[in-house]
Amino acid sequence: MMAAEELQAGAADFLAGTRVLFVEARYGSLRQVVQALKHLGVPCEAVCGPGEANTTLETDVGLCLGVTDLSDPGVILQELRYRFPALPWIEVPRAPHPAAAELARNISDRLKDHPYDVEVVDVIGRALASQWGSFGDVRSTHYLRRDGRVPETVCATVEVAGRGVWGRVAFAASEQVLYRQYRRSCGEEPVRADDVYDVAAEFANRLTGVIRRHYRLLGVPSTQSAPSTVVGRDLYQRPIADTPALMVEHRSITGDVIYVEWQLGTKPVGSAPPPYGQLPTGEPVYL
Amino acid sequence: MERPRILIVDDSTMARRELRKLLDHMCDLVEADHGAAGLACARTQRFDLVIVDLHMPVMGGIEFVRLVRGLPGYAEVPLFAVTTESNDEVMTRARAAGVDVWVHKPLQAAPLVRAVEQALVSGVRSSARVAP
Repeated sequence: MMAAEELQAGAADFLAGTRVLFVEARYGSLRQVVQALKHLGVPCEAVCGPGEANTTLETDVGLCLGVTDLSDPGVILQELRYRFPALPWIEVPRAPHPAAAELARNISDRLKDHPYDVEVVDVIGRALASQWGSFGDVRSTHYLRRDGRVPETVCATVEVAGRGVWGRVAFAASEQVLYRQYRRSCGEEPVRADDVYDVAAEFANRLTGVIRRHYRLLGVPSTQSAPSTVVGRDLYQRPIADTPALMVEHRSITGDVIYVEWQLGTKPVGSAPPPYGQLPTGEPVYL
Repeated sequence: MERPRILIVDDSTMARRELRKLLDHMCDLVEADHGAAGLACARTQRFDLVIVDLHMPVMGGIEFVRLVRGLPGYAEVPLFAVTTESNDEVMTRARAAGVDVWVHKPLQAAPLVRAVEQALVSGVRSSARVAP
């Protein structure tokens, strides 16, 4: 089984590999910002125009923030945002100005506030390893996702709401993978198709609970909706605007693939310890 | 000797079947897929212990618990909430409604089975005294 430390290291490498996309950054202040960011150690990718940006965003999964000084950003950004709604954008004035270094620092700080702390990747990896029968040997990959394509034929989504954390968590797998998991978990054959779909819903529910508990222990409580499930091929779901979506793809040695995506915005709201303590997973707590 | 009877109320088929797999050897189980169906079972049958999920359609777990506690003979029946919920406000409401034991999903088989066995043998109050 992949150790938690390896999972965490993988997530850290992934997050360290994210880059900022600059569109039309050859002239003026943006060029200065790119240079200042590189000086701060923030990797950047510069493209010449919206067409190239479009192509780059389709293929490069490490881009986590877009910056542009395009002279007609309204139309251009509208198109890019429509195609890649989860990618946040910063618009800067085209005219050269003396605050390039400050702008670069702001962008750098924004990247440091990335909501996808590596601990959450670790939390998901541990939860799957303990609950998902065939994932005794987990191989995880992580990438930022910008389109809304549902990666498998069954996808269950749970909404998260709170003062300090909001967004949604999705769980997707094929019907065959869910069928096998039902047999493993329940020790019997599923009777109806809904029994198979219910596996996705229940896992989305449980993983959301695990992620929320992680944030709760950080002093950020939240609540969650009941799961909703879609079934079909070539489905799309609209991502939440301006909120990066992190996809964690788990592949077992038996060939089962499951996808966990979370698209959560967060802000710290204090660190008071929760009254009921740490709620150890699965241990009964007498109220 | 008559086997104990447990009512499981959860909208997830998988969750109900997992509980059945864990508890089937020691008791007779009746399943309901939401609070209203569970309440109908509790009105017409006698159970020694109730396990309920909190987030369910039609009737949620807390409302179910509140109504079950009002039924004749259910004031002292051990009541377990099995849930993904970790919100303190919800826990407080669940306790006020009458939940005795809170079990966070994903389940751990051994602690859950032990807690159920203890509750069936000596009630939830004595279980609480020996809880870690």
